[in-house]
Amino acid sequence: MDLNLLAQLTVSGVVVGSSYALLGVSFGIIYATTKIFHLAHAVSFAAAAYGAVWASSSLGLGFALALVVGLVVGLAFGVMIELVFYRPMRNKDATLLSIFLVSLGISVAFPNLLQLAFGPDNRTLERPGNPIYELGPVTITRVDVIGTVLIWLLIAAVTTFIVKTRFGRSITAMRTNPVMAEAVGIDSKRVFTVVFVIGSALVAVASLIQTSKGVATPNMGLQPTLIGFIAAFLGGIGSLWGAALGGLALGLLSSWSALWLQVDYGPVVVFGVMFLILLVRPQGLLGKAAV
Amino acid sequence: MSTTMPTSNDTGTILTATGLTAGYGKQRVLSDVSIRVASGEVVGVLGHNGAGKTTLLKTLFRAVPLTSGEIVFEDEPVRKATSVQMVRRGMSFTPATTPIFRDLTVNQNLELGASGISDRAEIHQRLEEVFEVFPILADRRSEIAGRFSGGQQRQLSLGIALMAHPKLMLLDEPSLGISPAVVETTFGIIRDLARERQMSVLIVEQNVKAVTSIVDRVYVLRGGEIVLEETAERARERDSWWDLF
Repeated sequence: MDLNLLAQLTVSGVVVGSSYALLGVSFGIIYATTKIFHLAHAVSFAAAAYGAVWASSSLGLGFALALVVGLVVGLAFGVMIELVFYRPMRNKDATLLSIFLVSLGISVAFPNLLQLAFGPDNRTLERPGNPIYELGPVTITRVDVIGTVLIWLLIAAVTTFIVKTRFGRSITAMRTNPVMAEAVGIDSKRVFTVVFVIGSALVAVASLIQTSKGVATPNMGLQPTLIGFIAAFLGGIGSLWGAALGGLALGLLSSWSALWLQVDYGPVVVFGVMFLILLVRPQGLLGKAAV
Repeated sequence: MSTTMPTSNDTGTILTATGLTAGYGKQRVLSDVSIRVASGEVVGVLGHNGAGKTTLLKTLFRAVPLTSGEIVFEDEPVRKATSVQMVRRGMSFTPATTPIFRDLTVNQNLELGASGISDRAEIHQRLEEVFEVFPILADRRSEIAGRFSGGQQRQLSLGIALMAHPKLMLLDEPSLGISPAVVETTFGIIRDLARERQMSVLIVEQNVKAVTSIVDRVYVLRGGEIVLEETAERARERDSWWDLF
């Protein structure tokens, strides 16, 4: 085995897996708390990227300010979907399947709107240089270093917020026992709104890290959303650290698979791993078995 | 239907529900149900599975929408209120199944019971009050509640309700999942709490013996309708309840 190649693939796997971890936490916190299969998470992902591109190209803002605009736009779209679509449906006692179908519809329609507004071509965010660092046989870019560190700081901050603060425990209460949460007077609307703020902000950060080293395209949101879903289920719904580790494991396995397979087989490995783990341990890596 | 007046310890009516019709979607569960609870009174609602007992409590707690009827709590109509508002007004609801947060510690469970209170000193004082009533919870305050026995979980659920200082406790089958000896202890605590704190309690139950031992009055619910209202004294004299269920 080529150890230099293994080292490089491991570093690449950590970088990719960290993004998957953030996607897993962002999808998982919304799904576990609201039980909504929020496929329209893809909208927040794409909106954040296009928000940053628009702020940079149309408003002439610098890179950092453009990222802030992107973050706000991605977050705003996520919260708007909750307030304008999901909440009125819940108020009308709509089933989760109906809400999922609306979410699916939004995620299908939004790329078309982006295409109408910005055109079908790839859009690039004006950005500073991205130097490459060499550590022995391994190379890594500055964006990847900053992005990876930022991701794990954010995941630690969110999990600390959930575990240590009173409002965080209200989120746990709503996730684990919504009937009892309502019985003690926890406002589900407020909890759901905050959960959408957190989840949408996290997915926007994932999008902006990707856009800082790649391009924005109208259909860019769907695949990351599905990866977030897989990471969340792999780690165990309800466990944010589980979702994060699930994402990291996916990234590493996908990267390591290049030792034996062509790079194009990465997604096949991801779905294969998901199938095997859910077969052997349906509750996910850190999830608890149903009691 | 036979009816009786509330007992002599009444100082006023805390809850009046009149002509309640409610259910889920098009499925009607309650039909023209009227009940009343006086301040400091302990009232039981008896009935078999599917009689509508839980729906009645959830309707009073404003967790199930009303088709028709009116609910007055502390002289205020609350037909349009939400569950969150009912908690703020002084009503607590303890569900029959999983009435605790299994993944959280005793302290965290109890603090969630005071979710409308922001003053830390006030929350601490209420915790001490609950620990005085349930010393076992004080001993195990840092333990995860899901590991407790059924009886301890039931005590914790009452503690969670007490944290809000309710004026009216709605208890859904508090005898569910606990041994007969623990049922007796738990119901004794409920009765004592009502007396000491002048708190009203509305309990729905299938355990006739346990309920009639502590309540002032009982209603019998059958097929979503109240078919009997009488004093606990008369209820305890009955040889059989099957014909009423």
